[in-house]
Amino acid sequence: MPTHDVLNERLSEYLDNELDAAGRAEVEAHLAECGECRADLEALAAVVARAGTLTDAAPAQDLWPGIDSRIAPPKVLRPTFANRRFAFTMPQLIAASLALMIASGGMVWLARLGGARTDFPAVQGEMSSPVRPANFGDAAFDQAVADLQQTLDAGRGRLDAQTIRILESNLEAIDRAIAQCREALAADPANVYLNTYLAETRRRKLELLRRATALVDQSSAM
Amino acid sequence: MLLMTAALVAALGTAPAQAPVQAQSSGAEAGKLRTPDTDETVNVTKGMRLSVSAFAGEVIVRGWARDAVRVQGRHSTRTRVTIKPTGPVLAVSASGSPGSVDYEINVPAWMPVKIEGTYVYISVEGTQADIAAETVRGDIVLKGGATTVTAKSVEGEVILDGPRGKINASSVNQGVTITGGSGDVAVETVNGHVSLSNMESTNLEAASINGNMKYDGTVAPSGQFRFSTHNGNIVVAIPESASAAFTVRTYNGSLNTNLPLKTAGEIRRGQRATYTLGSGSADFELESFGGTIQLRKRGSDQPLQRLKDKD
Repeated sequence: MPTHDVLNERLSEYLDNELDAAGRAEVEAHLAECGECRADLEALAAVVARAGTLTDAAPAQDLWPGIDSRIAPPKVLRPTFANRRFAFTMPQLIAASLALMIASGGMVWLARLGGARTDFPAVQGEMSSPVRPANFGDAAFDQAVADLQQTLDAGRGRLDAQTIRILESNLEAIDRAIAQCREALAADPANVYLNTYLAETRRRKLELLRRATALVDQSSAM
Repeated sequence: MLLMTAALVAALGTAPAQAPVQAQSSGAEAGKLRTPDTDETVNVTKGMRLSVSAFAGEVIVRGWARDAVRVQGRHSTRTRVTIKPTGPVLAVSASGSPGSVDYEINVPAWMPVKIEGTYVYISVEGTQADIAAETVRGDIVLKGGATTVTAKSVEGEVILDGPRGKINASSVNQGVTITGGSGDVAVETVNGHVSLSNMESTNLEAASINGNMKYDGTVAPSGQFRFSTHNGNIVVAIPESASAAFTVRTYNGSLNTNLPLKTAGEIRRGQRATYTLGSGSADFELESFGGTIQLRKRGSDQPLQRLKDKD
């Protein structure tokens, strides 16, 4: 039977139903006799459930200084570091996600200092205020898509009909992929692959829209 | 080609919504029957690069052994081709009436080449330097090229033969085919296929929405390979002796292989599954939302075993 630590590391996989039958049996046997792991499992389940209900929210304050002051220097690595394979538990992944979202908020605030062209609202607040998760994904994406689509629509007459048709057909293909991914995510909101894939597909839509609007600009210059 | 594109471009001059048809490599042979309207040769020195800007027609560039650039252009009498050295750049462009120009250009093999066009078919062969080719409607065919090879078309097909170095190829609506490429490769399409044969890439990233993907090549021990498609199928054929770890993700798809892969645990819909071949030194990431993923022994028709079932 694996040790307590090993089995505790497998709780997130157990929760995600990623273990084979033997692995599940080992974890369940351990859970029956380990209160600590039962508590961890409950906490994990609560975190996953909470993650599924998160909605987009704008940052309420400037978070970066607080983050900056909390970033500790790297620890001295153990001699076996290079030979280790790493796995992350669900709490670790969610903590990392939250840190990334918070860092994104900070970077947006910094980007705001860059000039009038930045599109994000200014972020203000006290450094000592409690940290709250923030997600810029949908709002920023929708705004960028709307802006680019508007530019493309305005320049429609400057591109030939076939090019417009092809661009729109390809944008629709990406939209269908996004819609299918969203549908899958609705049924499985914590799925890492689907979340990553959705972000990647949305990035590709933005890139194609940017390219399309660049074509409009080029056509205008001719 | 010239007459066809000239007529179409004439139409474009008054009605942008009436577009030329796809620019293809149809005019080179026919065009040779006609004396070039422009034929100029300019001596160049190492360190210079060629930049061609074209609206419609075709641009065919060939490497040769002379330190000179010869530009032959076939176009209407109302169009004027300009060949202008500006610092390290030898710029070729057309002015006058907005029309089609069919270029045939000879360049030293060492000379970097950049071609930008709208309704332009682009072909470059026999050079051993940077190539950058971009067009909206037209195929791009590159043979050779080194250091940095970039080919981007919106509506045309992109075909690269033997590029070396940092390779970046994309087509929005058509396929990308690379044969005998080596180096770092990035390929992207939306509706087109991705076909990579006889590759010796160290790092590779291929992405598509609806396109099928095929990779056939060696596996560098520390190489990183990433294939991602939404509805397409992915076929990766590598030597059985390769050492690689495969991270596979599908949502509605499946995984089939005839390679002796080692796996750990059960795999489920939408979850990551990891397989190892040999000691697993190279990294492969294979993602298809709805397509089938095949991991094959290179050069083998041995039947495949299904590893990942639909959920």
